[in-house]
Amino acid sequence: MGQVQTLVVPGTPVGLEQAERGLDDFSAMHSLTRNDTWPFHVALDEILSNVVKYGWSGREGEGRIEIRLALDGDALEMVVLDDAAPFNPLDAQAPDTSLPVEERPIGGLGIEIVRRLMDTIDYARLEDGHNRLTMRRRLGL
Amino acid sequence: MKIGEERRDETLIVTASGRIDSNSSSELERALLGHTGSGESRIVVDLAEVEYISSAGLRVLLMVAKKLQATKGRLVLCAMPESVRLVFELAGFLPIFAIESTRDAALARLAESGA
Repeated sequence: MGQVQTLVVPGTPVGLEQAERGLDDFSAMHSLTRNDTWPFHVALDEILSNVVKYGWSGREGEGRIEIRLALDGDALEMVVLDDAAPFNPLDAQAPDTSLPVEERPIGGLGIEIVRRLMDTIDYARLEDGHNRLTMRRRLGL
Repeated sequence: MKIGEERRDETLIVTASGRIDSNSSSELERALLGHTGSGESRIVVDLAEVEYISSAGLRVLLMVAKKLQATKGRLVLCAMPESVRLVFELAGFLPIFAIESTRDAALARLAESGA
């Protein structure tokens, strides 16, 4: 696996912007294209906005999010760690996309998009009190 | 994200460029909702310059489409790049909207619907 780039951002909307810029920097450093990285930008938006809203019981300014990026062969791996309450976003019920949208519960749409964009996605609750979400997608698709 | 607006006959054309995500979607919402209340009934949203859209952006577009419907208005999306089209598809949102591949086709669709 290539060198891991780590960035740490606060659990706030500003932190989310910083995370997106950090991914831009990683992309530039490794000459990745927009076609390569946009799924990861979307994933960051879905996951981080969820953690910011719910992870610390709505109290902004608390908590820390760590994002690790690494190239691995023809894939990019992104790991998101946060020190919020235990929460596995993959537990959220997949929305029934055959239902008219008005009848669908709002939650879960974002994570469903991430699940379908990524080749693999895994959650673990670490003993040191972190949620860890690991996702991979091949580049140049 | 940047928003541009122009009028063609009785249709408002809103052009979004950049990234439509949880931070920028409220700006898109303001630009579109600013018109649904003022009798604007025909809106084309041109997405050609959008890098990507997240679920926050999808929700804004859905809400605007519903508001327009309530007043017999119409919303047509056009010129989706593949990244945008794919997110709509994965979210199950393609069947919900009127979508055309070009701005001209979107304008023609609104013209023939006589809204």
